[in-house]
Amino acid sequence: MTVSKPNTCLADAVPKQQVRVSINGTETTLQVRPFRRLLDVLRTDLDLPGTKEGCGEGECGACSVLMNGEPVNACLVPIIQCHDTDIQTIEGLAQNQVLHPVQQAFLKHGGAQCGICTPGMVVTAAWMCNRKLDAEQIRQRLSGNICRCTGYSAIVNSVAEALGADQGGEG
Amino acid sequence: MSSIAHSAIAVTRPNRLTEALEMLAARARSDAPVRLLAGCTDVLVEANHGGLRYRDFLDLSGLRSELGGLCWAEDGSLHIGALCTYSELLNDADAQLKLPMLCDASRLVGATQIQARGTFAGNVENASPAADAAPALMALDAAVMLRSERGSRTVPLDQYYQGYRATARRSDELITSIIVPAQPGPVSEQFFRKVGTRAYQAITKVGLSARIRRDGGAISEARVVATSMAATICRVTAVEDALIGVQDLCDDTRRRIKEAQTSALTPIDDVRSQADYRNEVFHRLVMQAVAQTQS
Repeated sequence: MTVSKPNTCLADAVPKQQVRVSINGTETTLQVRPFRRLLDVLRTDLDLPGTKEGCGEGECGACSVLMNGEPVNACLVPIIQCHDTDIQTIEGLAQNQVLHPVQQAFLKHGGAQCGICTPGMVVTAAWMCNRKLDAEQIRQRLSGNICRCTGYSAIVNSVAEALGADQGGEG
Repeated sequence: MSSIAHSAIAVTRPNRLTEALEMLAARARSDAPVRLLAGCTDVLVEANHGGLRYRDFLDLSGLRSELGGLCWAEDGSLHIGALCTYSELLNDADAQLKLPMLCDASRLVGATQIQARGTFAGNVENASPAADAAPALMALDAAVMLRSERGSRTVPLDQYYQGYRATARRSDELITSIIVPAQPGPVSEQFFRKVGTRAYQAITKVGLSARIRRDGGAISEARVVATSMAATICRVTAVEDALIGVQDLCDDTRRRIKEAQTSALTPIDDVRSQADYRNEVFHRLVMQAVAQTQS
């Protein structure tokens, strides 16, 4: 692909665009610059700071949210691509003050330490719910969520309990 | 962390393929090409780190009904739509049965979150010499379907790369699908191996995608595709030729295959690995592929 010349006619004001998106079950219509990251729109515009920023390049998974039911890195999603999609963030998991089974399991097993990776871990784990997975399969599916504190055992045990799976592995 | 001014970035999101092609044609005429957006797993990394060279994008995400998904044709070929993600392929039971090497490659692209967003067409067009899916596709004799307002054409993937990060796609063209032909042989012919720093979230230091067919005991046909061994993903025809007729891996045969490799590939030292390591590991991967695909 060739490198484009800077498009000088695009001064500094690309108009905002309308993006219709469901966030944690609530339909919202946003007026936003199209290339802004979903991560920033969640945290800044929508006051949903539970989703964290780690690496900003899709490696650490701290910003994981569910997009149409699948975990994605919110730092790699331009908001325009959220048009007509369903986004679930960590804030949407607990229902009526009752924690999601994954959240309860993290509490029980000490699955969180510093907490930065936790929302992303919990969101990815919530996506795994209703599947039969062993500890190795859980680890594979969590491989896009990096934790620098726990050594993962407590996290895998938390997820395994939430899934009703055998808790395997020393880490 | 992000250093670009979002207010200066324009994104057009058409809902019909014809509109997208119209825009591409107009931009090509005025020599103001746009960058295409599909899964954004490469473009947004550039953007987040301030390396964005484009300010003008054409987002394909509104074209899912025309470019999404995958389908198996009656002749057994697989048509991978331009917006088909790795996780869509991994959720397809037939793909697991018929194209295990492509599934292996897909499972090793980044991790779960990247597999949910990244597309095969994006991986092919991004033209990284360290790509994961493109070499597997090349070893499976896949072809790229391109479309523009002028018409359609098909380019075999092994002719698609024209230099470092350069592809055969013209600026008014769009990849509409990637076609993987029906594989005539058993799946035991397929071999995919990526060597990186760790199992997931790794970029390939050296990789081999191969298909090795035997007639009786001897190798009758081979596809040997190298990753991170040259400026582009490439078939190594010298090694393919050297494999023909091989039954057992005696020392002489190994030496001959190694010589063919060194004559064809000159990998470099870079931030991820070294030329000597790449040469040695690639040779061992070829030996492993030969051994593993032995009936």
